[in-house]
Amino acid sequence: MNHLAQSNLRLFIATFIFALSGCGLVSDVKDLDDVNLSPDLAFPIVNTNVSAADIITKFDADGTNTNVNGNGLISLVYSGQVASQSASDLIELPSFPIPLIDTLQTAPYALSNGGSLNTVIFKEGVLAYEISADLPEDIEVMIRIPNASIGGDMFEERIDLYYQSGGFVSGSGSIDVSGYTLDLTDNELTLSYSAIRKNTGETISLRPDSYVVLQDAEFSYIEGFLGEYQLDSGEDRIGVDIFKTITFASVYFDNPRIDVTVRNSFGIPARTRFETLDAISEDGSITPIQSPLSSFVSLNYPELDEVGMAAETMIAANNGNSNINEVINAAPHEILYQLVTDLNPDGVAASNFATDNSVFEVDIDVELPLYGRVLDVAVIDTFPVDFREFNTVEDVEFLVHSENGLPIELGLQVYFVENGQVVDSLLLEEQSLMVAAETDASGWAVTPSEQDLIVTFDATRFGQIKGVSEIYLKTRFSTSNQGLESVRLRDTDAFDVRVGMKGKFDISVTDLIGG
Amino acid sequence: MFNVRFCIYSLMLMLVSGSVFGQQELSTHFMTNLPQAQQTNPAFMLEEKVSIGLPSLYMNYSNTGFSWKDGFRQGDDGSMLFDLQPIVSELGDHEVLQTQVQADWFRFSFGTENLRFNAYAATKASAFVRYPRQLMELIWEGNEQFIGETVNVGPDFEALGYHEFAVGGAYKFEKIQLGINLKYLKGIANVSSATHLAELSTGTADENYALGIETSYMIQTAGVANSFPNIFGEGNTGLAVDVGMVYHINDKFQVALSATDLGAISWDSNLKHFSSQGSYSFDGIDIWDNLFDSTVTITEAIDSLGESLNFETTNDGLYRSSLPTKVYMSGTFRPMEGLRVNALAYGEFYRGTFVPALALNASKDFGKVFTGGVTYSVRNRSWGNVGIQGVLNLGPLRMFVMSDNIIGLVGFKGAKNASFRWGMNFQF
Repeated sequence: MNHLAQSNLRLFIATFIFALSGCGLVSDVKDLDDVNLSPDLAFPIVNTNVSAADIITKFDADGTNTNVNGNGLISLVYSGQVASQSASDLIELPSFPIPLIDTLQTAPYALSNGGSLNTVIFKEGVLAYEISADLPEDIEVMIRIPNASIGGDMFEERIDLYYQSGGFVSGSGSIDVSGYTLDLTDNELTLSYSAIRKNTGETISLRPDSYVVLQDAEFSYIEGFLGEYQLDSGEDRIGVDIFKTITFASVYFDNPRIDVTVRNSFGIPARTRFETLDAISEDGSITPIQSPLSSFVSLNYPELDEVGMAAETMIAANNGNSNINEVINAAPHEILYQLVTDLNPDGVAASNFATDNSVFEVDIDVELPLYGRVLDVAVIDTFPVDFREFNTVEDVEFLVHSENGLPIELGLQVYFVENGQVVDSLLLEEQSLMVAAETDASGWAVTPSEQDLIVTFDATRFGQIKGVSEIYLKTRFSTSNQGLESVRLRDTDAFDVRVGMKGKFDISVTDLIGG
Repeated sequence: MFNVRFCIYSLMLMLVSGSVFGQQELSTHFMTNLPQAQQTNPAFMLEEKVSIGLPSLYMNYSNTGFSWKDGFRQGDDGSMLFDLQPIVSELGDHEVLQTQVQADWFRFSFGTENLRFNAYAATKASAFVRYPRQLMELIWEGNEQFIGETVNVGPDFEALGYHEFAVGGAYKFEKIQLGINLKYLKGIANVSSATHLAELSTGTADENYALGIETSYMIQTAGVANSFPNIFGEGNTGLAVDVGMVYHINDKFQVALSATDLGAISWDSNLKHFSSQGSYSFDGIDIWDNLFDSTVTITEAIDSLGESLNFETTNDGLYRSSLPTKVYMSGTFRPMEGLRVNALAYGEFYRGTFVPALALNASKDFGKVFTGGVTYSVRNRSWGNVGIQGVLNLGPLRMFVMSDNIIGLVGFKGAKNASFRWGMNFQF
């Protein structure tokens, strides 16, 4: 209604109020301070549906630590990349000066670790030179590397040197060798040069301190016996966050596992083992994890006809081949690891290869399928509340109705806290809020359970909690049959909690209409 | 703007101000020696040849549910309380609260024994509220009693003001008198509920006491939205008719039958309508996302449910409002000269409501100076209505006063009905 209509209404009312003033009705209204109502109200408070996936999200907000298999079974996965090594960082091409002492000569070209090279394709690099001749005139020098070619053309470069002063001609520079393929026989690089006077074309010799050197060379492909290497990840840790969040009396995962995945695109035989693989508990105690990787395990690698591909090796530590069950169920907060990998462990010369993209990567996944038993796992949280809006409540009854499709029983206690002191609790003692759903022989929930819980607050009791600022919520859950049966948790398993309230309210109409 | 007193004053407006449909004016029907009786039956004919009615006033109040004193009372500490709790359970399924004020500006009549012409002008204002008991129960006792039920708490109401300009006549042949009034209506203002569905549902315990509101509520207004009511503005006109007959069985007995205010006003000027339409529900807060993060507020969620009742302006279309149709069926016995015993069955049809009344009246002429009467009536589930009528004849001047419930008029706070009419005529 707009302002003008309100004004008209007021005038209309005022006219008749004046007319009625003699009836004494207006005086009754004037003497009226307020109108108080005491209705009995019923209304809903909470209606929440929570699935197992929602619960897990609380512990893994971005889903990076959660996996759901085809059956809906949820697994918590804690991952870490143990090792990562690229070929370009591991293998360094030799770089040394080659004196131009003869017009045709060979020079050794091998890896520093004793590996021998058959073929190198340069991705980058230069052939730097320092050339001089004892002639005070311009000269022309041709450098040739017969076993280096690009597109079928042999490496041949002309260098012009121009006399400046000092009685001899000299010069330095570099020649780009990117894209050249160097085919080596017996680890030797063949190099030839020819030098002539520009004026006359007479062949000359260079000063013996002339040299060339392959610098800043990086390969795009390398083949040969690349030698022995040992890769060490160093010590690192993976956090198992689930055990950092919950406090518990007993939790038992039936089928935990640690999966180690090795991706090897080096064409080099390799083996790996954990130098260290320990579980560290909250109190710092260390439990070694015995697994197939406690001793060396041979790894897959690509063959010569699989250049550019990665071979994968997966090694699992599970109940059948390790003490992982015992370790995980001790609730470790971290997994400490150190992985050692040997390339060409036998030291036997063989045809190896690597590209500039070759990498050696090792990932660890600590997987906890939510299949197991839980007894008295407690989740504790504190959150602020404001009951001042319920200031008019006199007596209340809360009806808590739950329908539970999880194979987990939930106990609840709520503490009302004011200035750090517990003023009251919702229940006289911790009670079961939700009974676990019935499960089949495999531990899957099949039949939801229903339960009603009634909590009453009389006026005195409610008055005591009106001023609280915090609720201390303690939930305790166990799997079916008081934690004695292992159950499986689907992502779609869910529970409903509904809380309704009935109560007598003391309401001031003045407060209600805000005037 | 809104405080408790304003709300009460508004309620008073509904109680006392304006004209109320369902005027249930019974006493006037018995005063056939006054021209005012013709508005209850246009077939009534005066003995005098000419009658000029001076401005007169009529006021009526009726509340089938409760009296003023039922609501306002003093508490134990002497403070004034407004509390309907004691009487809520005694209310009927629906109760009607109505008032009326009528100001006759002039009334003119002339004719012979067998033929009569009448004309008059009046301004009428009324207010009507029909409220369900469940609305009062909901306000005073809460919704817990309605768990698992849906209750309609939307009141039906109309406030109306209009001018009435009438011409009519009556004709008598042999034992029958027939009469008719043709009335031109000029609307001043109207506020009424075109639809008044407002249902509140409260779920069962299994349904978590879920709350639902469904509204289909339209308030139509004319003449108030954009300007002060223009008494003689454009538009907002209508027509109505009164018809009646009297049959003289013999010298002592007569019966009369009439129907009045058969008509309506078409509202087409200064219109503005408001509508609340839709269904809204609240079944609880999903606290999962808030469980570990923030304060849970319940009343914010419930307040949003109340906000769903906000009225929005709608297309300002034309509409009609019907006048309350009244039917009078009466019989008169004249045991002797100057004494009349009357019986009346009255019914009023308005906005889907039928309000009946029965009355017995005895009127006597005390010489030529004074005519007095007593009426006992039953109406609105009220059984103790005693009214009086008095006409003082000073030559051609007739001064009259009458009330259908003199007890209610004197002790207004305790009455559910009260009416009052006074005026003066020149009849010669």
